[in-house]
Amino acid sequence: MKKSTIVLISIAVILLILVTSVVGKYNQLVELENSVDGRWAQVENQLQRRADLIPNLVNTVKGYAGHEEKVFADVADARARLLGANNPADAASANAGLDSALGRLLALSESYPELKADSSFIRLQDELAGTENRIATERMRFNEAVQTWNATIRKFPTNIVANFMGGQAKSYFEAAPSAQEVPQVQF
Amino acid sequence: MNKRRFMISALFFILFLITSTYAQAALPKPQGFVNDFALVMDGKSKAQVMLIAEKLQKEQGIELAIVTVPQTSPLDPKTYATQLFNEWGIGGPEDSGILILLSIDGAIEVETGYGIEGVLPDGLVGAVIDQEGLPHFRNKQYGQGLVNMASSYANILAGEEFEIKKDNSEGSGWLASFAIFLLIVIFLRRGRRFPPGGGYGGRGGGRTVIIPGPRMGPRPGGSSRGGFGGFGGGRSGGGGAGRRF
Repeated sequence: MKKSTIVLISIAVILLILVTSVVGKYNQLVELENSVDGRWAQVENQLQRRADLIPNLVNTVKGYAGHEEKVFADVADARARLLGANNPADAASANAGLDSALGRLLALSESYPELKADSSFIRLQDELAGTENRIATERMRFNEAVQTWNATIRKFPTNIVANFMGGQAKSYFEAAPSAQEVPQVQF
Repeated sequence: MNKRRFMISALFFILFLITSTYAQAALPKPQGFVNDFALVMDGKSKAQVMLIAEKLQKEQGIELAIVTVPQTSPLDPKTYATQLFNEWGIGGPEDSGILILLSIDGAIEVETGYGIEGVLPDGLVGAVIDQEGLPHFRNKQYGQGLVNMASSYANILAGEEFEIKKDNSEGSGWLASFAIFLLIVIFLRRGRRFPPGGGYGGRGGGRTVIIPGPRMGPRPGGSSRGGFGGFGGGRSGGGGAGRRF
C-alpha cells in the first residue's frame, strides 16, 4: 500500500470520527431540549388543571360562606395571574401566590362545619390535593431535565456544538423568594 | 455576572442535595401484587386481595399493588408512594397501575397511574378511602380495610380494559446497534474500493444517524426478581388521594 493511501485513509477515519461525534452530540442536545420542552408542557398541563378546578371549588364554598368576598377576590386574582404566566419563573411565583390564597379559602371550612362535611367539597379538595401532588412531581421532573440540559451545554466539547446551535441555559421552575413570603394575617 | 454564577451553582447544590436525599431512601423490592412488609395482614385478606389483583391484571390489564410498611420516613407518605410506583413500574404499557400504600404509623396513600386517572378521579379515590378504608384502619383492622378498598376500586374499574404487558423493548436496542454496525461495515468496504478518493468517504458520516441512548424509565417486565415476574413498567405523576389516621 502506498504511503499516500495510508495518510488518506487515516484522514478519512479521523474525519469520520469527528463528524459522527458532532452529529451524536447534536442529536443528544436536540433530545435533551425536547425533553425539557416536553416536561414543561406537563407542568403547564397540571397548572391549567389546578386553575380549572378553582371556579367549582369557589362556588361550593360560596354556598356556605357567601360573604367572605375578600378571600374569593384574592383567589380569583391569583388564578388570573397563574393563567397569565408564560415562563417557568412567572408561573412558579404565580403558583406560590395561589397556594396562599387557596390556603385561606380552604381554611374557611374550619369556621363552617357544614362546608367541611359537604361531600362535593371533600371531593374537590381531593382533586385539588391530587393536582398539587402532580405539579410537585412534574416540577421535579422538569427541574431534573433542565439540570441535565444546563450541565450538558456547559461541558466540553458539547458546549461548542451547543453554542453553534444557539442553546442557552434554561431557568428552573422555582418561585422567587418574594412569592414565598408568609401572607399577613390580620385579626 | 458573578452573582448569577453563584446563584446557579447554589441551585445546583440544592438540587444535588434533594436528589441525594431521595437516593438515600432505599425502596423495597416487590414480592408480588401484595407486599405486606409491615406484617399486619391476615392470611384470608391477603388471599382475597391477591385474587382481586390477579383478576384485574388478567382480564383488564390493570396492575394493582398493595403495600404495607411500618413507616415511610424520611420521605413523606405521598412522595414515598410516587417513588415506589415509578420504581416498581406498576401498570401496563398504558400506565394502568394503582398502588395502595398503607403506612402503619398512620397514613394511607393511593396513587393512580397516568392511564387510570381518567376513570378513577382523585375525588373518587378519596371517597373510597373515607368510606371503606379509614373506619377499619382506625380499629387496626388493616387487612379488612385493604380488602374493602381493593374491591371498591375493582368495582369502579369494571369494564375498563387496558393493554396487557408485552416484553418487546428488549430486542430493539440490539437491532439498532446491529444496523449501525452493518452501516459502518458497508461504508468501510465502499471506501476501500476507491483508494485515491477515500477521503471523500468522510462525508458519509454527515447523514443523520441517531444513536439510541439508554432507554429512560423502568424497563417493562424485569425478570430478575425471583418468583415474581415484575410489574409492566407503568408510570404515575402523583395522582390519587391520601389520608392520615
